[in-house]
Amino acid sequence: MKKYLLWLPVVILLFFLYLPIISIVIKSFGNIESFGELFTSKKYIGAIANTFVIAIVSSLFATIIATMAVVGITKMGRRNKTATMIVNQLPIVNADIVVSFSLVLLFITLGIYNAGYLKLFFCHTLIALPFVLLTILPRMRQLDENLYDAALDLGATPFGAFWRVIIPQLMPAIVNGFLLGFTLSLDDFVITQYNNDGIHTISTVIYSAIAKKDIPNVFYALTTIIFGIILVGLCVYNFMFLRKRGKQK
Amino acid sequence: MKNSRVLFSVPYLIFMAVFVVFPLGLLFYYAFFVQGFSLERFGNYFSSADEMATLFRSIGFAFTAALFCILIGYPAALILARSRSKFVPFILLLLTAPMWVNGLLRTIALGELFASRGAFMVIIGLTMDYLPFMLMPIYLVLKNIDKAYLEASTDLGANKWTTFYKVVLPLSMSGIISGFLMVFTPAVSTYYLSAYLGDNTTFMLGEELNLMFTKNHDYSGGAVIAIVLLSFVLISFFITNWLSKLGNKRGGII
Repeated sequence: MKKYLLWLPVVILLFFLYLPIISIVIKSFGNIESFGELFTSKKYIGAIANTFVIAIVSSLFATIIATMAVVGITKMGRRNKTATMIVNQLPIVNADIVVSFSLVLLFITLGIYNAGYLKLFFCHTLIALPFVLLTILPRMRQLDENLYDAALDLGATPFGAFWRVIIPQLMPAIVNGFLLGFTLSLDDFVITQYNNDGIHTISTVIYSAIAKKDIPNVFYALTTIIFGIILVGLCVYNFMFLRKRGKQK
Repeated sequence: MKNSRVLFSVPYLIFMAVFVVFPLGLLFYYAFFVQGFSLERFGNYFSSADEMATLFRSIGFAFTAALFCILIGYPAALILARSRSKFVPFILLLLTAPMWVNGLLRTIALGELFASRGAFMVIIGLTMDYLPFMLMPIYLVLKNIDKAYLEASTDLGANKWTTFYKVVLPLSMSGIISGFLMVFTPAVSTYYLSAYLGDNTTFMLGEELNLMFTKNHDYSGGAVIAIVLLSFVLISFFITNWLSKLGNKRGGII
């Protein structure tokens, strides 16, 4: 009995963290037709599609830039490398609202007003890029320093060496980086709210619904579906992948 | 040809210059240089009682939330770090999974569960939002403590509490500090959370910046607050760097 009592702080913690999510799930099942609405209602499907399109395009863009960047960064001198890494760290540690505000000032200064999706693509690339870079960089460091030079010596062009030698080696990290960037973009609210020019995503629709004190049930249903997929994924990952690894040990 | 490698990072460097360095420079331009260099805006800011009340209120809320996170997160991290259960990796994943749910929706769901609004709810909301940020660094530090230290402490006659107080707690201090900064820094700049869970006595810096931008269109005033928020970030950034340098010197324990 004492052994189980010891886990009490962990159980309390889990309960605390999951309380709002349980409430969201209950709400979504209380309004079961909202699951159908999710796929039929034209009103919200636009915002949901926008959210996913922006997340996919921006994280793809961020992944391409970051993958190219790590090839160069590992070759930089110490001081340039440190400076680059500090700049990379800035948007990660900076408050969302400060980043949003500084981007607003940037677009005003450049005179870019109604650029539609383009502004959001750039903003979300910025959200993803530093994290994608940090995901790929350690993998690049593990690669043999001479791989790229060897490819050049054997007659590959710089781009050929990058495409045929470096990229395949980095692939697992590139996929991880893309997924991380995708989730970060999906979750963003503040930066999108400040720079959207009338293009709505899930977060901004929810935000404007707060004022009307009426959150569309569709979003509770969507959250339930996404969270369900994540939970199932985690269980599968844990009980199949980790067990397999345990056996190999 | 061999230097062609560095050229690959040019798109990245241009992107970061345009979207990170230049916009931050613009913040300083708007705060100091619009209509000639002047420190007036900062003078006015720091001498206004209202502004200072908002500043210290924000610091107070973020500080209290970070403290709550330590109180709830530390025991759980300790149990997880000590446990030999094969479920620990799974529980860690469970603890971070709520972050996948839209933050705005989570805040609203929490607000709907409680009828009251005010300072206490803001602190509860901040604690819930950032608890995983506290838990993970503390867990990692505790996990890396060499078991030999604990055995040595017991062999030298210390009981469980003395060992915890004199050995485990000091060794996990770096985890507590980095967890604290990871909670405090985003919490101090929150804006929709305090607007939704708070009342008219919980006005915070993030809300103020939001008002400056959306209602007053006062970009210079907004830039002043943004720089105040930025200074919190920079301070915690340097503390974290200093800690990790210290860690490298001492062999990565602290």
